[in-house]
Amino acid sequence: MYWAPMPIDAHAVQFRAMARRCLTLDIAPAGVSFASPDAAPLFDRVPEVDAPASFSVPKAYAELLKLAICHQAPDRFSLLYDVLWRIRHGEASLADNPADAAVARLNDYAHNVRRDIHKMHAFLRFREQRVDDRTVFTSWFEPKHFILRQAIPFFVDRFSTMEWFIATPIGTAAWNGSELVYGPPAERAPQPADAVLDETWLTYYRTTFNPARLRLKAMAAEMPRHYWANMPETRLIPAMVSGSGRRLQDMAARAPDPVPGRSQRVRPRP
Amino acid sequence: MPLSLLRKLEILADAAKYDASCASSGGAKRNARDGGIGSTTGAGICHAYTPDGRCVSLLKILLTNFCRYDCAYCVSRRSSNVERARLSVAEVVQLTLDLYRRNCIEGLFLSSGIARSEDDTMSDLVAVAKTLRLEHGFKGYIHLKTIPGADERLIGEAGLYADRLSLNMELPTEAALKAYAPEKDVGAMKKGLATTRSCIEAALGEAKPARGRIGRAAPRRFAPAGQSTQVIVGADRSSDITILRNSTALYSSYDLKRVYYSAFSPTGHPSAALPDIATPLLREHRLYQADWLLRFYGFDLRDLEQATPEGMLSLEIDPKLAWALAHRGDFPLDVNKAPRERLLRVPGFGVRAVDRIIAARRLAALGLADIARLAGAIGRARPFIVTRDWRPGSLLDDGALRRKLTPPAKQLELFS
Ligand code: SF4
Repeated sequence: MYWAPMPIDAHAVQFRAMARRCLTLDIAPAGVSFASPDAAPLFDRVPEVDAPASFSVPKAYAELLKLAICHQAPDRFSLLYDVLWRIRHGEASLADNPADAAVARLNDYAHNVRRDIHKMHAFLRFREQRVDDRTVFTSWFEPKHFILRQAIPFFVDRFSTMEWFIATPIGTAAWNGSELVYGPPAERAPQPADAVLDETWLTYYRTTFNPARLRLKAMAAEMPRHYWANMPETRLIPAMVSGSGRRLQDMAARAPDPVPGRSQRVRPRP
Repeated sequence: MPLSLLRKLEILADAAKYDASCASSGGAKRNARDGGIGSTTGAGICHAYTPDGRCVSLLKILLTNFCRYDCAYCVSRRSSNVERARLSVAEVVQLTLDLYRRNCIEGLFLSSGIARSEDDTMSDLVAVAKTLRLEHGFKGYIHLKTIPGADERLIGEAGLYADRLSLNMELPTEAALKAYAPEKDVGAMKKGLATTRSCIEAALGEAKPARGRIGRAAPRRFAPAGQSTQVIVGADRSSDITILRNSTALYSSYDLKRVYYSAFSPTGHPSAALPDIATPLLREHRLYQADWLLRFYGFDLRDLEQATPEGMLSLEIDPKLAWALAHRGDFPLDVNKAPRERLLRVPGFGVRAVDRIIAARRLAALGLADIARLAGAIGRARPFIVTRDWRPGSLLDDGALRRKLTPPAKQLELFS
């Protein structure tokens, strides 16, 4: 049994290097344990090899690797290695077979990672701040998986002419209008006030809600509570829900509107 | 006393919320790498969900809720005593950019009451989009309403700046429109939809290679995400089949991307002509399901008519299951052999599930557990399929099958 140290946020390049070593040494999936480099070693490290085998993998596997490796599940590395091993041993189109249990699980991881990236694009909120003489948009966000580097290019595309800083428990990203710099994990700091976010946005969110259509499960399915802490509008939800019954009763009891005098004078133009 | 900006936002967002459309998908991909602000990825993003389960994607707002018309179903009709407000072009532009920079929205969905003339109203809508695009380099999503009766040139201009254009029919028959929106000119509404269609087609046509030349010119931008409309459900007495027949005609006449269905819901300002009684949301949901069957599952209107003798879709079970129960002779289907268009008719199989099944069966004969994994759930499909290790036997002929497949009536999430 060998020990293949893998940092917790290992990306595809690191995994590929390790997997090539293992394959060159012909180590079967059952013979290797992927674990954190900080873990107390139970087995010998996978030995270095001078010229690791070089080979190409099917596109479906490369896609799966890119996303599934960001998942936080500890078994993602061994599943990825298992599938790679079998691809190299005769099951060339394995990654295309969603009925295989390991592939199905990795597909599921990839799906969750894709969703987490999407939710970061959707639910991250910027707060405008004056820093020295500059305007900087700052944000704190807590993703579920190790998606920072996959998610950030979207913000560069969209907000390329703004200066911004995104902090998360898995790293930071800073953009100054021309350069992107990643930094180490951060801790949550108090969020500065921002009138647009705290007043305009909350007013809009509260108003666009239709109390005649309460569907809390649908809301929670699409906007999991995990993300609520960093979305200021979610603190309005309890009052919006408890107030909706009363608003509906008021509406139901209301007689037709007395027609305002103005309406007698205006008409569509012929 | 002049209203504060926040109060105006409140009045005009409240008036706009009955429009069901919130899509920010489709159309061209853009980004701000070369300046300006904003991007569209083609996929659309919901930036929040409200407790009504609907997504908040765009700043959905009216320029003004002053209106000369008196459509009975509309909270902004002139005979409603709702509070009135209007925003200036500059104010809407500022609100959009402010919220966009905080990553709260994908863009703007702008509509308006018709306070002055149709042309004035349309010009104001165009001015907002034009200012955002040309003065601020805004690359986010813009959806504009087109005003029936407005000059064709204004619609032509709107499409240069907007991703999507829409014009709401609101009611499914001309008779209903005559009854509840007597001042509306149905001809002008249809003409508006037709104008947008021909502008879109003209822009696409120009992109075709000219004779004797190789390659394509870049298409001229005109409402790249197409046009849509909305129909209110339950304001008048039209049946579901009437509504769907109308949608089918609208899709084919105006090449619409979507028909939105909006369950009539109380506004707090009832008109004497229409009681403020909410339409069940489930009815709206069933209409969307049926609309999907017509567009993506190869069903035609006759299939649905046969499964809905009274003209109303069942609220208890989904329309595909209703159809399958009425056509048991067409089942069971062997999932390892049946062609794609037949698999799409199996209750509980979505388009994605069918495509996955077809990919997986090339590699190995599929069993019931495989299907459960590929389709997400198996309950509704089971009586209608044959797999490597499963035959429904007499289950399909069971007289109680419908009852067995009817989901238990959901506990309504009601109000405390
Ligand atoms: S014209 Fe439009 S805004 Fe005016 S009353 Fe009719 S539906 Fe409402």
